[in-house]
Amino acid sequence: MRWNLVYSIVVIVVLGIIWIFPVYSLILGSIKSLSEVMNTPIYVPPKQVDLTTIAEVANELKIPLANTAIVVIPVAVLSTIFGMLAAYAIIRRQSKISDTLMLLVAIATYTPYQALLVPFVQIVRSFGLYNTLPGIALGFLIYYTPMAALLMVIFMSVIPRDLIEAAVVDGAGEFSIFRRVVLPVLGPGIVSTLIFILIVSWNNFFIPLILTRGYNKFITLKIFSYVGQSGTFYNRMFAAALVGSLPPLIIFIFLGRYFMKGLMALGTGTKA
Amino acid sequence: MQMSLKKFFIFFLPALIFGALLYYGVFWNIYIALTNYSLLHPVPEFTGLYSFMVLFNDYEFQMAFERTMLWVAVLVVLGNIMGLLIATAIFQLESPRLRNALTAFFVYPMSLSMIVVGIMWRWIFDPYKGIDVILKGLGIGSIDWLTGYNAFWSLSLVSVWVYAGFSAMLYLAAFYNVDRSIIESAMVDGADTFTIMTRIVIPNSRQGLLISTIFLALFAIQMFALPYAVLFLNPFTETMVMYVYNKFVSQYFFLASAAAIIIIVVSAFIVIPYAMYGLKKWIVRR
Amino acid sequence: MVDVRLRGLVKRFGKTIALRGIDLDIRDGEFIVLLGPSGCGKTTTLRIIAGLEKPDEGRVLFGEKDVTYLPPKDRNVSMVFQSYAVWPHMKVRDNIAFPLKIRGVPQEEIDKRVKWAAELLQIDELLDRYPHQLSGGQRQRVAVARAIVIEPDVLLMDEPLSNLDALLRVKMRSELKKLQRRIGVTTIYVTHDQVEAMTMGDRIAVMNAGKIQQVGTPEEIYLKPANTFVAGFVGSPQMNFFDATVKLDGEKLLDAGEFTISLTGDLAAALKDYNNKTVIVGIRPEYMYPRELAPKNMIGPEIKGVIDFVEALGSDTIIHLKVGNKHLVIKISGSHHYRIGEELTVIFGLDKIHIFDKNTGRAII
Repeated sequence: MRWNLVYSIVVIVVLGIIWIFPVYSLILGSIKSLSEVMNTPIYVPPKQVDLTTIAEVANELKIPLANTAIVVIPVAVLSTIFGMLAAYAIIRRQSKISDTLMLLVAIATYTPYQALLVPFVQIVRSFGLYNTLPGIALGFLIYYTPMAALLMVIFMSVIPRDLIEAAVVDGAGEFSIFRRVVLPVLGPGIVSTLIFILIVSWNNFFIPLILTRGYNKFITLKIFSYVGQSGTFYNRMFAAALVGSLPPLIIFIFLGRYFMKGLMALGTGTKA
Repeated sequence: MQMSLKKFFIFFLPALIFGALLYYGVFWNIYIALTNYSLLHPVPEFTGLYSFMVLFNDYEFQMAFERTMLWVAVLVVLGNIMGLLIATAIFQLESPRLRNALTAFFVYPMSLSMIVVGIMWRWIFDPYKGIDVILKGLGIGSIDWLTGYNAFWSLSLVSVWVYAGFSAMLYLAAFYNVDRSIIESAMVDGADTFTIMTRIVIPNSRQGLLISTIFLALFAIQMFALPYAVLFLNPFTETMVMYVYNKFVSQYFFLASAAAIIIIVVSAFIVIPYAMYGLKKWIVRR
Repeated sequence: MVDVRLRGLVKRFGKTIALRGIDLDIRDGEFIVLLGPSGCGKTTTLRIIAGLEKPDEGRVLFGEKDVTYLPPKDRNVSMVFQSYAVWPHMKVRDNIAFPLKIRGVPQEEIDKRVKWAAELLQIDELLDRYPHQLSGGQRQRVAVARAIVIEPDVLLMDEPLSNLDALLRVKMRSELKKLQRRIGVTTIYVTHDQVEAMTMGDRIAVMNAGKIQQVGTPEEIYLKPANTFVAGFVGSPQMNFFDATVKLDGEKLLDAGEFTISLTGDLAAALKDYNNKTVIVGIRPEYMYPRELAPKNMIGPEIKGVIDFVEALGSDTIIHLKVGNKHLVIKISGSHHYRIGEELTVIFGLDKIHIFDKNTGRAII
């Protein structure tokens, strides 16, 4: 066997174990009975599968899960739509104004939103939305709309200009070009943006933390609440973490290539 | 034909509203940072750069700043090394499907919430239920992963675990961009894989290094949920963002805002050149 | 159907000037070709006529109507793009129907018109396919069908054949030309390929550096090039150029150094302002003959040289002749064989030479 394959297999296997170990423990830990949790390390497989904890925790997570879905799905859809519209404007008009707006969009995307804590709270409060689901959604939209716009510009910039201009010559107006030509051609780019924002907003902890009180309005807050209250019963924490991560994890497993495309676009500024 | 200015703003309007709120936030931050707004002064008064003076003399902030910078260094150095290691390993494989699947596998920690990551690793680091049990069994003895300053190093390693796959992905993209004909001509010249990787592929992947460094640095600057989930507001792992949060919770708003400005300035140094460079790529001109 | 008039079009992109004053009258139903090297401004001119760009100065008139600032939809034009710009997500039928739908044509009428256009382009079998199921040539037909389906006043084509393979290109040339005759639409066709221009255009506008160099029928462009650019751009191999001094005192001749060309009365009269000045003389390779192959009673200047290089192309043979420091190219029928190093005397008719002003490049005769 050639040495480079040996290297490759060694690296992938060794690091692969480190990469899989936490999730492996997470799954095993959440299906252990209480007595095994008390007596065995996290990585020891249970002698008997005990689903009571998972069921119990899942029941406790119902409301935060529903709340999160209510916030995150509209946020992903809206920011993608707003981003698409903005990106179309930028692609269809090349001037100083659109360049400047584009630069501002890019800077906004890469600016740490955590630094905007105080004003975020202030803005959401001034709309009377503090400690509400729409408040969390507003916080998300402020941050994820520019990001969606940037992603969409990146995906749109590879559409051949002729495709759009052919529609212009044929007499189509801007809305009709957008709807009939750009949107259908953009397909996978839209899915990437949607999936990407869906996953990152589902996983966001900071924005719901600062915009709400208590733990029930968002899933990451709820998961976090188990850290304090479960003591050494790691099965409860693990069950909460597992159940709370299932939606993004399942999306990642089945539609991971779209998430990767989104990451890649944000990273390199080009369509992978 | 270009879009009319009126239509441009119609299309741009929704994004403009939210973008404007975001920039409003930045400027509002600057304003608050120039006042004494806090629990003691609920009506902000303009006090100039007073807040920054307080901030820079605050030992807690100095430590948070130092720690964040150290976190940047650890994540940039180790993240790049691990990313390169993973990328070169994946690059040796022939099958594009296997390559993509493995890349996704190493990226998966990024699809998890940092809270979940924190919970998993908090238990892996547990002296009685975690890997210390194995280490003790091997006679190495337990490592106090989360005690004192150890916690910082442990958690910065966890952040490497989270982001190394992303770095690997950027390196792989750079590798794929290396002109096949250069590699093939080196193969014809009799170069072995090691030489090709170290002399041709990796040196031609400077873009991967650059972008990966920028993003790893940004991720480190934003660090909050991971240490918060594992150790709550532990002084040994307090980052700049945690400092901002701390001051916000204790209602020292002017200090929170001033520290936030420092975070924005530090990231702007990284982001603005990158955004300017990206702009040339995104806007295709005739 | 309309005639199209361009008046003083100027277009700048930042610091670069793409068009420096374009004036052109295109007759109703005419097939005009804008010919020139890349970057000469021909595509910009086309885009201004389409309404995709606005000129910085000048006007575009369709008939009596000033359309300079009208958007494309108010011009009733259509355009075939170099990349075809066939929308990948629409079936062929929907691609062709699109401009009609935009105009709110009733469905019944749309079906009729789509059928008509598809039959004209012989793609009626492909109407329910997606573009990715078509060959390049078929996609091109879809683009043309989409362009003619609205029966435009003006049909614009931007290098429509340049992405096709050589064989298909030749076939499509004649088809497009026939199609244009049949529907009689005013057509403006942009290309950098002189053969395409010569075979398709009723008239050709040769462009360079943002200006029209000459407008004329293919014959006029070929036989009476207005300047050295047109003379050099049209014709393959390129016209031979060399400097010569006009000598009108004593024996009237053109002195090229290595050889001289005696001038007849008319030529000498045409050159009377150029006595003792240097001019550029041009002669096409196909009008120079080795003496033994020349038409029997041909009289004219003779030049003696050494064969430097021979390109045997099958149907033709290209001979490169060295005459002192000068280099002449001669094109003859492929059935004759010459060897490198041989001496060769060539003869040409005085009526075939072109003489250009050395400073302006403009044709004197």
